[in-house]
Amino acid sequence: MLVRFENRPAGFPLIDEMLSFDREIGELFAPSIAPVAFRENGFVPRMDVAEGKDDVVVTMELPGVSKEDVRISLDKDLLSITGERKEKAKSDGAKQIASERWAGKFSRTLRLPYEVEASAVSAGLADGLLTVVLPKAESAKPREIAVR
Amino acid sequence: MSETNNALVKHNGETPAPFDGGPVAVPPADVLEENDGYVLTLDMPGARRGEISVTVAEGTLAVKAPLARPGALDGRVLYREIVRGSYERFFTLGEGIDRDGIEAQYDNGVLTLRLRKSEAVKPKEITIR
Repeated sequence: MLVRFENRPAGFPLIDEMLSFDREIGELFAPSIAPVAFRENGFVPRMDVAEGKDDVVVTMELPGVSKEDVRISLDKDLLSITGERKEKAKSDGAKQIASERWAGKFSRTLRLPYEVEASAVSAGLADGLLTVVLPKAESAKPREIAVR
Repeated sequence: MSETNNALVKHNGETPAPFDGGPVAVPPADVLEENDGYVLTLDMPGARRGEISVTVAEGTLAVKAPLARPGALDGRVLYREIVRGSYERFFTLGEGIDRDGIEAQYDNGVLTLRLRKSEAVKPKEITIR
């Protein structure tokens, strides 16, 4: 699992890189069951970042989170996804036998590798996956130069 | 009763063989015991309703689902933490679980399974005459 960053270009700084590294180490010992990491300002859900020709797509695991409880903000090239996963009240007389799922506040911030068109950012939440599509700014799009 | 409880939450331990080739993620689960049954809640973001299989065979409750993540798979991956492959988790059911009364519901990445205790092990109140 430590080789997972292979595909990441060298100039793509991620603010929670250290934390992810901790998680990688954790996963060496407890493969897929390792819970979502936790730090002071909340849980850190797992995410993917992919790049298309025209946009950058961020996918984040947010099972059981309502869209009203997700806040996405963009400050220049800093994308922040924060919110809260509210735990349903358990019924009276119920006894908790196992508790492995996370609940509470979550927060992730990443520095985008490209300048994006802030006004055209869109987001959707389906099957517990948040997808944020950030169209690249004109200046960041690949360009073909005709040879005359 | 306590025997039933212990058996219910037991994870079978060994890493199951993936059924579609990819890596396997074990979804985290909560288990609640209520008076007349159990509620199992599993986080399975990215699974799709029609593709989740819940089966009971020889006392083992198996939950499986392939993980397809459209969107994230397109283009060039810059950063990847989310497992691709499939979800699998197994629970050993105690004798006191009604095998025919299991209900499953999937909503926004969370699978909820309701298991009923069989009549024989339900707590009973005895009226003093």
